[in-house]
Amino acid sequence: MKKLTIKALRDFRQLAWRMLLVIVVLACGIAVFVGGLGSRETLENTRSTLYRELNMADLTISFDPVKESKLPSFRDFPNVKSVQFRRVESAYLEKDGRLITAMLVLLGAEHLPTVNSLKVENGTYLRYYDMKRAVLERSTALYYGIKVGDKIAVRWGGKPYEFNVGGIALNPEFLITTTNPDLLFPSPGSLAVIYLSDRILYRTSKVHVYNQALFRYVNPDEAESTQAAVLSHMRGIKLTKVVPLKNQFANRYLNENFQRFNIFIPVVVFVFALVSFMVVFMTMDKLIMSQRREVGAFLAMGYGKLQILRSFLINALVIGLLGSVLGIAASFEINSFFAASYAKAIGFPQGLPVVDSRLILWGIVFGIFLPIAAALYPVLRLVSLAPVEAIRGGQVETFSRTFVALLDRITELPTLSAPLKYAMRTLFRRIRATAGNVFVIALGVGMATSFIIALRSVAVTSEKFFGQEKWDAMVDFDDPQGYGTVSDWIKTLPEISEWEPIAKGYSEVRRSSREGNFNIIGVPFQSKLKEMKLTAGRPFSSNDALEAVFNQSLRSLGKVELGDTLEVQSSEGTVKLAVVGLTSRISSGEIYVPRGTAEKILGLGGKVTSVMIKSAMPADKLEQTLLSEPFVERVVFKREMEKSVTESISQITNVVYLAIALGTAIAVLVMVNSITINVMDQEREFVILSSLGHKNFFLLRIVFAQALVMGVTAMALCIPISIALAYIVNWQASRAWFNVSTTLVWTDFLKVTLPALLCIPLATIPGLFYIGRLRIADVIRKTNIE
Amino acid sequence: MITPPTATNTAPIIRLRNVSKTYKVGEVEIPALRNVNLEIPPASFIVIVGVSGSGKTTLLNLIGGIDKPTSGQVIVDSEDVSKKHSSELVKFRRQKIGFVFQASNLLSTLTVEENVEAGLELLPLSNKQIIERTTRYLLAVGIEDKRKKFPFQLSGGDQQRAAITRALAREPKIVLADEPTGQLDERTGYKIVDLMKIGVIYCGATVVIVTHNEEIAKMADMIVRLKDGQVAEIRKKS
Repeated sequence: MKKLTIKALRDFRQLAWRMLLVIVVLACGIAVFVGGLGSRETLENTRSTLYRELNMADLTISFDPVKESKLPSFRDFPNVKSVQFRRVESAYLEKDGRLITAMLVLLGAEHLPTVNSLKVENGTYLRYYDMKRAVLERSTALYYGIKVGDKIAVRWGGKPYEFNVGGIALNPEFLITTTNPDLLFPSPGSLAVIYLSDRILYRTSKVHVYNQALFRYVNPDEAESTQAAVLSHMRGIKLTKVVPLKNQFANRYLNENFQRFNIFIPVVVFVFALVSFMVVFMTMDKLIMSQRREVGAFLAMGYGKLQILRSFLINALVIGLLGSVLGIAASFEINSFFAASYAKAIGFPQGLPVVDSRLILWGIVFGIFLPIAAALYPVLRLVSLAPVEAIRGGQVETFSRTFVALLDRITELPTLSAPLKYAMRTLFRRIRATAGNVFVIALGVGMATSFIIALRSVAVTSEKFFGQEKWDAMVDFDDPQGYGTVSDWIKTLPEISEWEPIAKGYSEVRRSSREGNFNIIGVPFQSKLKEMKLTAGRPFSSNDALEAVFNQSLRSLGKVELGDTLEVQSSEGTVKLAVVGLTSRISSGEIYVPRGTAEKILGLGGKVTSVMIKSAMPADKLEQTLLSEPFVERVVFKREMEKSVTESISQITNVVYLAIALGTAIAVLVMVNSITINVMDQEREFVILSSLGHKNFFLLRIVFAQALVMGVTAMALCIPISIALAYIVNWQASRAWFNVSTTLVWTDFLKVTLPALLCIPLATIPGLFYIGRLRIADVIRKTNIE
Repeated sequence: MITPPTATNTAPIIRLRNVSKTYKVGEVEIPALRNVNLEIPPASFIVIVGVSGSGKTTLLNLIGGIDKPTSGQVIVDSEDVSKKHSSELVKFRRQKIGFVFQASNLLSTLTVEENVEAGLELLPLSNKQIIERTTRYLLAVGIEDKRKKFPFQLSGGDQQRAAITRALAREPKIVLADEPTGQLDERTGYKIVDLMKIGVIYCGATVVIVTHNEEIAKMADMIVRLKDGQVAEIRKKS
């Protein structure tokens, strides 16, 4: 092995602790990058595996109940692999005196359904002769703690039923559950899904009646043309809802939510990359400066610049390789941790971690490139020197002397104690290293603080949003009801202070070449209960104006601006709506129009689909009162929606807490490292002070003062850093969820900075031990030789 | 054993013609050498003396090709060093020059033996030749027993011996030493100068030492005295 290579490797050994710190920091960055993004792959893979294994429907069509004999045949239908007809009914599950909205899915008990099949995880499937048997969807069972063998009470069509839970099953269409598809946040347990034998109905009618058809395609790429052909084939049947897979709630939710991984991970990776870069840079700079004369001698001897460059870059390469190996190894754990935390939070089934070779490759490339890039500048600076300059030695301090002189003025304050004065001057003399260390500490603490700020910002934005909504409950009807009927019904209800009708339903919306299936919400003109809170533009001009207020959270239609035209598919053709206002709401997938316009688009003929109610009645009492009306399908309380959002935010807290812990750990590690190195660099000064008669306590005070100055400066610097990072995180969050406004509360800054400040005394411990072991004679001899 | 060279050539190996060197520190120009003319014969032991700031180190650096003159010609072994490109200078130093500095400038993470070998790796030598030559010179300089030690485990004198071994082992035509005894006591200093003479006696090298120690100067074949960047006196040993 070439001697310069041996030198490089021995340098590595000599700076073992500092190198270890660099490797750990780099490994953390790679682990978060590969593991974090890998966990997203894990979740996506779990979803696609379940979709494939359980034949997730590519198209779901709901229609008014039709006898089996009246349904068209789809045998040998182009691109349709299989079709499953089924009956779906609304009901309530009675649990602990509460009525929980339930969906009854009636299936043939002879065999598992061919589309949207079930994976029975506990117990067994339905039995032909056992009509009391029910299979419960797994998240419902999990949430309510219902086990195989338990009995469940169901209110269906106003009558009570009792079923025995014979099995707990997983279904690809309910990988997550929700009662409110208008709100893009699932609330686990808010919708109970119960599978029953279709013989329950067949026994009385002697005929199979279905209201839903599920289609699985041969080639999903031809979804649009197949859907058109299927719809054409079903002409004559009154369709109520057509949902292709891309608009299926759980699918869409997961698509949107996988974006969450892009909120925090890039910031964590960025901070780790920056910290790694800084630490490698400072380490290499220190190493190079300490060997400047020796390298100068080698240059004089005839060594080429490339040979010197290579010898120093070997260290960076070793750091990169070790950091990559460690990071990739840790990434599997991070992958499992992130995926499991996320899956648990939303009731998503847990899958095996996916190893993405591309991510690993990128991780290695990133791991190797970063330290080399960081080492390049100090090495190039050295080899660019003429040998005579290198041999001359001394500091190549490019930092402004005026600035250092200015800092020195601070130390002239008479009130400063001698150790503090000495500590500050020492730090100012090494201004570059001090600034680098302070910046790295500030970055670590700043990253952790920024996540705390971001969490609060999301919570406060959501709170503000719900504060603007004046209604207490949203009541959806099973079928559109006439205004008079609703008005008469409301009059019979006690304690309803205000109410307003709403017309809502799904429709295809197109803008330029982009399109999607959106919830059209018709709000009353000059509504008192639903405040639009426009971010731009104006409210509707009349109850039937062809105008829309666009929710900017809808990214699928691209960047919509005031004056744009949205083409909405109605029962009577295409309706063109002018965008007159923009809003940013927590809910997603909805476009607001005047109620009259919505009625026209949705073909409601003067009927309404829902009402907003303001009432002082307690929620459970109000729920019972409202649900006692047969045409009421479901009631969503604002309070519950708020809870759903809060729970949804808490889903990511595990990930955030991990990032906070890592950020704080980096800060403390760098602090320990820099203070220890400072102490080692000053050993000569310390023994001189000792020989002059100063006690060890005086030296300890100097070390502590240095730590304090660095720590306090870093904490001050972390404030602007954390604010800047919080803005980036919130900007990312706004892209994935809704417009999050950054909320700054001073106590949030203390949550990390205070513990970090308390760590300062701990960070001085290794340095203090070093001082304790110093022997005056040894140090003087060593420095004389040098 | 180191075998003394047999053939000799009396033509100057180092020739400086009207050499000037000016350093620029900010806006201020500091002349280090002014119109220096000098001829140094081969296989001789030359000492350059002068007070601090007289231009001794600058002169040495120009001869060694680690610095360039502002004007004039520096011809070393028939090559005009002053006109060479930096990559050519690297090759020149590799082939012809050996340096010894005031501070030993040994790489602290390499042993004595490895420091010497690091210098030899630049030459077209096999591994076996490198090991053989390292041992030969370590023995000649008298630090063979310390070959496995790291610089910090050595005394100042031994560190300087190791640096001399590193320079001589490469068997350069010219050995340039800048204050090699500067940090050593008088006795050790003389021993070091004696070692430098090995280069002249056994390798036929021209050894140029910069010092302000007049006693060391007395051991030289030729003394060049510099004053204010100019050659004030050249005295040859009779």
